[in-house]
Amino acid sequence: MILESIEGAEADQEVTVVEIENRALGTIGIFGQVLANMVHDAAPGFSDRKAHAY
Amino acid sequence: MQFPRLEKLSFWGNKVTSFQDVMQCIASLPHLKALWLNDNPVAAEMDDESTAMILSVCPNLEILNSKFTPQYGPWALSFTLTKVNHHAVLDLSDRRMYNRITPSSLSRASDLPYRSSDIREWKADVIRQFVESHCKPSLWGLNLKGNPALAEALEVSVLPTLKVRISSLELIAAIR
Repeated sequence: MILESIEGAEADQEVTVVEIENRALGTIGIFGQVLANMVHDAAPGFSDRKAHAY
Repeated sequence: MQFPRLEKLSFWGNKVTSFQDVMQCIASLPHLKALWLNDNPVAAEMDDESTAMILSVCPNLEILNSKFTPQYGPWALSFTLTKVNHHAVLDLSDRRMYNRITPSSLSRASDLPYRSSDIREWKADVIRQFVESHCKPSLWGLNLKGNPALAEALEVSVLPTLKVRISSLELIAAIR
């Protein structure tokens, strides 16, 4: 499952990975409002991409 | 909005400046195992004390800003494992792997499951078990750059006892 937007979503029991990268975010305090980008449940991208040393 | 099962959270490459902001964010994520704030202004100001504060609210955190926390275990080690043609390469370079942690860090994260005197042997066992479980039939490469204390501990207590074939021990000496 990959969701492009979860803005306004209810509590998600399945999401295990949240990735909000290179979005020029200055604050993450209001957690629910910034989680409107990419959400992965199994993080295939984390293991596949080598651009970062995660 | 809540994510009770959230394990990995990345804000890599943003402009977050407030550590308090970070603490508020992670306060509702007690099961977090990895947090990446790399390439944010706040990351440049974080130190051992910051790590201890984060661990106090996220006691399962194993990776912080691509560095291993004192809590690291098989889960974090799996991020460093690559397999090519059944040969395993374990790249532990620059992970700032804690073989010892400072007393001040221990006092902040008082619920860590070990005392400072136990850490060396405990972590050696974690790495040995990981290699034996995940790096068969052979460990082709092992990069310990930036972890001199760990390299010493592994050479003394782990590598000679591994039950997998070591194919490139020279890699360790070359990078120290």
